[in-house]
Amino acid sequence: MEHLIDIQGLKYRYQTAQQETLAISEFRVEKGESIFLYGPSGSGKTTLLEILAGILKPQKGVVKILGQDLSAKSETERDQFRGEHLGYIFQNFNLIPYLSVRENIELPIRLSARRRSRIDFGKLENIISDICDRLGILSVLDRRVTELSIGQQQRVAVARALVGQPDLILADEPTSSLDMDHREKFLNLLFDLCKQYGASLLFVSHDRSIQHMFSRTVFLSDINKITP
Amino acid sequence: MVFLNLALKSLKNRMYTSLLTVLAIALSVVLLLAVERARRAAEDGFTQTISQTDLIVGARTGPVELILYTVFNIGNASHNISYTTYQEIKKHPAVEWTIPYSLGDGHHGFRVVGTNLDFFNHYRFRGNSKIELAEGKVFSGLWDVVVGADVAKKLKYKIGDKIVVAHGVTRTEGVHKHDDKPFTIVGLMAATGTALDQSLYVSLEAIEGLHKEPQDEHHGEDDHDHNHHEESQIKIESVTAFFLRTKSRIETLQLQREINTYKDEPLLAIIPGVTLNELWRSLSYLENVLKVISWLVVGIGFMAMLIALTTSLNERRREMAILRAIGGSTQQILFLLIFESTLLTLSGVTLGILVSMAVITVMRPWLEVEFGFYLVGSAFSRSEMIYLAFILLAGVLVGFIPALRAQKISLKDGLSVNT
Ligand SMILES: Nc1ncnc2c1ncn2[C@@H]1O[C@H](COP(=O)(O)OP(=O)(O)OP(=O)(O)O)[C@@H](O)[C@H]1O
Ligand SMILES: [Mg+2]
Repeated sequence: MEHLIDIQGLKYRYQTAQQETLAISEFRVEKGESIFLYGPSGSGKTTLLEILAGILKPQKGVVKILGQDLSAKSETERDQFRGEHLGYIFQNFNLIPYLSVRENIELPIRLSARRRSRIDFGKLENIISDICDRLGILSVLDRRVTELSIGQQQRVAVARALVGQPDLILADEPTSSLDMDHREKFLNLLFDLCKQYGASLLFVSHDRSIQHMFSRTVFLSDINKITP
Repeated sequence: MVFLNLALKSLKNRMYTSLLTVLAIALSVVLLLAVERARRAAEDGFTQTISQTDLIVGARTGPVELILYTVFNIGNASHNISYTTYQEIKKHPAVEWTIPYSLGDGHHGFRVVGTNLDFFNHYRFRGNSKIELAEGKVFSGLWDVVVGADVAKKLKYKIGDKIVVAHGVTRTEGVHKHDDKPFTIVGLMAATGTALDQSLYVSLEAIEGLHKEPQDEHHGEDDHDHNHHEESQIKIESVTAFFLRTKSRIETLQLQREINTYKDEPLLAIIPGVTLNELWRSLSYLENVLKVISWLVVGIGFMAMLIALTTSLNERRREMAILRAIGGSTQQILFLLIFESTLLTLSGVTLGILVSMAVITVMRPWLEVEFGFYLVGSAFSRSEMIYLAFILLAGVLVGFIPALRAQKISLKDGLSVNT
């Protein structure tokens, strides 16, 4: 069977860095899994997600997502692939400050024709209100994102990643600015939405109190064998 | 549509720099249009100093000299043509009308021109404009004078003033002053914006009389009174030149040939339009200087735009990276940036056109009254359209420079920018 994520002999070193940040000989994720990936700050969690998203290109190894080899793709092809199949919740949200909440959420759909074709475009309004209703940001839909609290911005970033029913959600510490109560509620919601849209989830955090909610837990240092 | 929305909101977000860029482009468009308009007005004003006259005829000299001393009050005729010859040509069946033109005397640096009423009836400039009197009437008596607008303004003349006419054009040359022949101002001409404004007009007989006077001096001092030369007594012997219109334009060339080969005396007939165009072209360096200046202005406008776009691009590296990170392609970003620069140029050009139209409307009367500078012709000539199209195109191309640079910024670097 085709794996959702299949990493073989991956090596990544930042251009300015002395040594490799990542060296993963093998790592696989199957469809439908929800992975909790943890590790200390600076261990390379964000770097791994960005490689999976095709934002960074590894120097060595094969990175396959949905059977497609990212490392063999050109930059443009990786942009396209990301737009079509992935939903990335950035650690720092990366919302466009001068657009409204709604416009930010719609943007991936409007920019990528392939992502657009994954949904019923005529129902975009409904889809967005549905997601936002459940995330509790329906009332702020027409505000500028700069007028939102950090927690609200985080939920906008989640909504943007989910719209268009991506195959894989890459979430980089999306709960960092939520309190204990909201964290669990938020995660339950994220799982529900992933299930509803048939998306798998790779969730990065160093907060191990929530790991029990995921189908599998991965400690980055266990798979990352950097040899200094 | 997503691009229009993105571009507009992004530009609005950078309101201040966007506005400055639009203003820079608008300003250069205004200057370009102003210079171009001025150039055209200068050319038209120059080549239409005289119109509807098909031929100017004078004693044989160079065509440029002939036009200079008849139309521009510059230089002097070396010879006159005899009045008989003038009458002869006037009777030619192809001739519709003529205006005699006798030159020679000066008045405080202005010229005194002898002519007849045909001058007021037939003389045309700038298409179909004719000579109008601001005040008074045309000359009828020997001692009547009609003065051009500039003369009246400079010398503060009014109807009824008595003035004295001297030989020569400049004050220093005015050695033989005809102090004993006071003329009376009977008419003030309205401003024409041409050299007509800088002359005084009297009858042919008056000019002839003034010329004759030195020979008359032996008659004795007591003879000097205004009735000395009655119009009937004066026989006109010559004119300096004359303007002529043929009944149909086809006959012009034929008549010109006939006059140029006139057997009784050496004559020169020129088509004023042709000579004026030649003369203008010989002044073309002036035109080129104006053109170079306006293009420099436009160039600076684009430099400003390039600077504005490039600095804003630096501020927007993150924004561009986000667009790509959520599935936008590099082509879409290229398109977005070019779309923005096009939008900026378009607004700048539109604003520039509106401002220059407003400025021209407001300044036109003032320019005409104060400087005799007439903005004739259509508001936008073909060449102005071409310039504007060129500016638009250049604006789009300038957009390519930051857009192509944006392609080189790696996605990771863009996302790591802290804002
Ligand atoms: N652009 C870069 N250039 C060079 N080194 C970098 C760059 N980005 C990150 N690094 C380094 O790579 C290592 C991994 O960084 P990464 O951001 O992946 O860590 P992380 O596990 O996500 O940390 P955190 O939990 O704090 O988010 C760090 O040591 C960091 O200093
Ligand atoms: Mg990180």
